[in-house]
Amino acid sequence: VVSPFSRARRAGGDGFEVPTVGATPTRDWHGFAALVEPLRTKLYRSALLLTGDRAAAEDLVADTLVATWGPWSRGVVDDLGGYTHRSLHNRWLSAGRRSTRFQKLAPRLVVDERSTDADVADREALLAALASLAPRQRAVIVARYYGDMSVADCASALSMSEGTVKSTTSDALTRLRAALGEEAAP
Amino acid sequence: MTEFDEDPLHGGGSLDDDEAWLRRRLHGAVADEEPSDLLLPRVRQEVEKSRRGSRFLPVAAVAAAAAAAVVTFGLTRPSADQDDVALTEVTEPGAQPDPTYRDGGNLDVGSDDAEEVQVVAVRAAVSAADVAGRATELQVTLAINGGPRSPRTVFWTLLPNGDRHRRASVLPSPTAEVVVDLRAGELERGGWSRWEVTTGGVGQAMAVADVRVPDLVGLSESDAAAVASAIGLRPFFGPPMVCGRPAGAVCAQSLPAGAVVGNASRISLQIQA
Repeated sequence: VVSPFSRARRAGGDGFEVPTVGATPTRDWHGFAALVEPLRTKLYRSALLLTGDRAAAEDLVADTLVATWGPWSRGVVDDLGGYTHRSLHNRWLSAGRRSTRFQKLAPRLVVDERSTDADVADREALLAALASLAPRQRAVIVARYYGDMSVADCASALSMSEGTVKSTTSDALTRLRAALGEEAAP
Repeated sequence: MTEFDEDPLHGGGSLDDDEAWLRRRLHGAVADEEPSDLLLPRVRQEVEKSRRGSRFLPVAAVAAAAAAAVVTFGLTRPSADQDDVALTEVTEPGAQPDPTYRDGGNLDVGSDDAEEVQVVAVRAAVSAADVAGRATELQVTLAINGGPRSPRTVFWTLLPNGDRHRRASVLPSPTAEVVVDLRAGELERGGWSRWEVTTGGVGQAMAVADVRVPDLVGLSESDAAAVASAIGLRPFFGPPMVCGRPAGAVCAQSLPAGAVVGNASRISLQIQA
């Protein structure tokens, strides 16, 4: 083992240098923030569709980005967009598995003053329909139809087989039909 | 005619129609939604905390380590033929130091230094702790009297690996100054010296990061979230309730105003339905 102090001494140093701990971080916060800035809106909107709640969505995105920082700063993550979206869905599914309450959150989204009654009703109907899905179904629907992931990407992100993604999608669409049918009924 | 009339989910359209329609609905439902401006500052704050280790300190570990902990280190010089001096942890009082931390680096006294070195001061600080409460980075500054450049100060970083450092008592605060009880002495070739590092206790340091809970009742949902986030609390909105306040105003908060809590604490807020 070569002592860092030996190296410093041999290089003419006086041994006052603090040796580097572990892998040298080559990526700083500013670089991270610059990459995350264009991603955050889509991450947040995905989280909003998953959770149906603004505060929970922001918590989910914040937790995802905090958890992404470590691997990214160590140079483990190159495709930050793909990694964060996969991480977001996985974190949400993990939280859903830990808490049944999480799965049963009523959609309380967001009534914007600019929205018309029809807009509000439309969004509430959709969010209520999403909330009626099982967490895995919701994750698949949001990943595929909001995140525009292919079946293969979705399978990779959610740790499912492609066949499972397809069958889950089909089941979810069937349930959405039923849920939105109930909403539309007079 | 409503949107549902042209909704292929209800009209028996093809799967492709379903997908295109659903895609439009999902994008439309959140098209106006933007994350708050506090999101990235909050992430940065959390990242900074995690780099210092405090974010991951479990409450139980904090309580357990609140009392001052003592870590004893030995300074060894394995043989008269070797110039290197190893800083190692002594796990049992009176035991010889176990040179398991030599991977962390050796203090090279050097052949041009005196035959004996005298430790005249030592300062140690733990700058990071991981989720299991293990110290992951311990910097020890030694002022050594002896040799042509003495006294000099070096920083020593220990990198405990695995279970060998899994001791709650080793966990001082990542932010607290560590009080050192130095037992300075002559270090002869082949001999060893030892001293104790007394930590300040985690509980004391955590108080630095504590915040006082503000009174959020009566504020609007967004204002309450902004106020709570600004001081490091994590706002969470529970089910709406009826309390006679204007719609959207905060009716109740889970943490009482004036309470002192850790700055990453979650606070649940209920708003007027």
